[in-house]
Amino acid sequence: MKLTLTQEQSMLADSVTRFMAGKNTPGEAESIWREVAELGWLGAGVGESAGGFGGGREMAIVMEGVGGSELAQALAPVFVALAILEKSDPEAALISGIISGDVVACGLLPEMAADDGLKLEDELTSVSGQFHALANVHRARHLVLALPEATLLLPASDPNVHLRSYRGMDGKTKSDLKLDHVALSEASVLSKGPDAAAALHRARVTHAAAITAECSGLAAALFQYTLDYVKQRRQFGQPIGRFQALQHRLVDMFVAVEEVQSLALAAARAATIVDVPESALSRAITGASDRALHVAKEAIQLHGAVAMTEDLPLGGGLRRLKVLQLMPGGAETHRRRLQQSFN
Amino acid sequence: MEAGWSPEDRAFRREVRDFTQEKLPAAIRDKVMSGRPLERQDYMRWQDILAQKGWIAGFWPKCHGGQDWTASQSYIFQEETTYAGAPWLLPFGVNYVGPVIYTYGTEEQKARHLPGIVSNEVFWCQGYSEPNAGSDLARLSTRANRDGDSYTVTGSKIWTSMAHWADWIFALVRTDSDAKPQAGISFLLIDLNSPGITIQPIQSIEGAHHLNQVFFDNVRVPVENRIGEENAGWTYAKFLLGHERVLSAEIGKAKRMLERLRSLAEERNLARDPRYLETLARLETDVLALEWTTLRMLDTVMGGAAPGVEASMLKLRGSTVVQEIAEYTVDVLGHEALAFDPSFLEETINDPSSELSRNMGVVSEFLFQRAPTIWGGSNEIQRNIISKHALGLG
Repeated sequence: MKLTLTQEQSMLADSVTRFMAGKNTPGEAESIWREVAELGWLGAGVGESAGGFGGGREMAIVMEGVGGSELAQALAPVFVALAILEKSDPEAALISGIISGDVVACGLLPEMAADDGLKLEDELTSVSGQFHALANVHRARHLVLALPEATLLLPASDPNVHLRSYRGMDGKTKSDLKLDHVALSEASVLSKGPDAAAALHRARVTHAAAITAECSGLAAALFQYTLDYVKQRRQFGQPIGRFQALQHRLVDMFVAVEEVQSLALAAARAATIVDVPESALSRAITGASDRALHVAKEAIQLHGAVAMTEDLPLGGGLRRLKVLQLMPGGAETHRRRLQQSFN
Repeated sequence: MEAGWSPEDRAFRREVRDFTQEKLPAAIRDKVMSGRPLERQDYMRWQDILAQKGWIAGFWPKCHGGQDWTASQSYIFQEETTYAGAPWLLPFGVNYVGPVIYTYGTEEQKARHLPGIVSNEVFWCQGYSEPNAGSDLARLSTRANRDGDSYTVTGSKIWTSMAHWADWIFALVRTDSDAKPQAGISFLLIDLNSPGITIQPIQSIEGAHHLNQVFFDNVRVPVENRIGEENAGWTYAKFLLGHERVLSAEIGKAKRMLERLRSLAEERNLARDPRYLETLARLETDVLALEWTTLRMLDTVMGGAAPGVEASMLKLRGSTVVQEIAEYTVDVLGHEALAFDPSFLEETINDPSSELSRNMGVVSEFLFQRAPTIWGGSNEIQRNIISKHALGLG
């Protein structure tokens, strides 16, 4: 068992950190997507046979490094799409188009759909369903759906695909997506039966690894801000970090961050393990989300009033983590899945 | 469970309830209920209604324009009005500086400043915190130098709620740098129209503007605007903070928020969801414990005892309970909470009664409710006070 990063993985982590240090999370610019593609990061989502350099761990390294930024929410659904496509047809031309940054495709899972679910109609001739608060689909040319019965590739421009976009709690564009009897051709069904089930499982692993990695990156950053702050903020004649009551809270935050990192690692490693139970993925997601939220709230409280302003990225961190908790397919979805599987 | 209110208290409760039901404008109530930010005019409109009834400063002595309310009447008034969806009765004039003026001020100061508070004509704000003096307020460094019959004030105050709407600010300033920190502070009333004052907005994490930094650059303040003795301001400040904390357990608000939580949950078919029911039961229990802790304290105060560490306890629990209800309400909204655009809440072109707008109010309130555990003496400071004064551990 070797859980530390390889030399190549460390270099990737460093390069992501350096890149993000130079950005102050700009708006939804196409240029940053282009830059990221040129750096080759999108290739972290697939293995060499599919033209990438990754597996679960590399993708997670990228997601951890970009946690909380514009890029994080844009990259996650693309990595899910890549995972589904790789499992269905590693040589698909679309994969290289996505890696090069020319084409955006977003991966969708059944648990992201609204309650009435996704319906495959009339012997796979059409699909219907509704999704809420999806990230990045407003930029997508393709939608990649991993369903238990079939893997589907849909053009986002289909007249029966309806999008409504709005500003999300994290400040980023979110979209409600409606598939209204979208016709399926032979080419749009990438796989069926057991192959489709395998693609769905792979997509779920990637989704879990992406969410937990982002929680990990964000929680670590919020903790570091707070640790730095209590060392330099002076009240009552000394740095507030000298007060034991606060020291213990910092320690609890530190331990929480460590555990988020552990859960993120467990999810990232799931990509290389056969037959990971999906309940373990759900536990990793809920556990990472709960701990990261705790860290975000403590970061705000320990900073005091200055944390209530947009001058520091603490409120933004809380809002983003709340999105990861409440978004369809996020932590609350998985908490419910866990409860249902126990009943 | 009933606290054993007197017949007079019960009658008063009915009177406040009927009055609020009749007079509280529906548009304001709707904003409050959904958690959307209020404008200056919203606060002022409701306070004008209260002023007409003589209820702005009900707990003040009659001689200063109050109603001589008992502690239980003050509690009932606050519980009933907030439960019904009335705006937060802005405390800066009524609860903070008013009692300081009628307790420590000169006759001239009382005559000049108290009527404007009672009639809701003068909008006050509070100049306490500074960038380097937050929890450690006594280290404040805004200077007031004596120059004949006036002071010149230089420095800045921060986290000043609603300073951009205010006419006057009461401020703690340093008048002696050589004395111990607490011993060199004076309490000044400053007209915000004075030359040399700049108010800079601070944007909050929910996207609204209620906080400010107020800069003073050689601002001339007549000595007659000083409360009490020079360098004795800390005494008046502590008196004021005691008043600030008594009010902090907002039972009416907590109950109102629980009701909204229940109705949002029912709309989303969660009424029989085990996890929802468990969380709701916990939050309801928290509110019950807070309510009866408040009533016990009220009973003590009615018996003539000064509020002590109990006030810190109420601040600690009140802020935490409301914060948790606010967050769980967002959780109940689920993905519907994810559409959040602060500009939508302020734009009059959007339908304020739409479900989207209401949901955004819930999100806005969740983010804003991170503040009460920080302000008014952070909950960490309250714990220090309790451990020192109640437990003898300081």
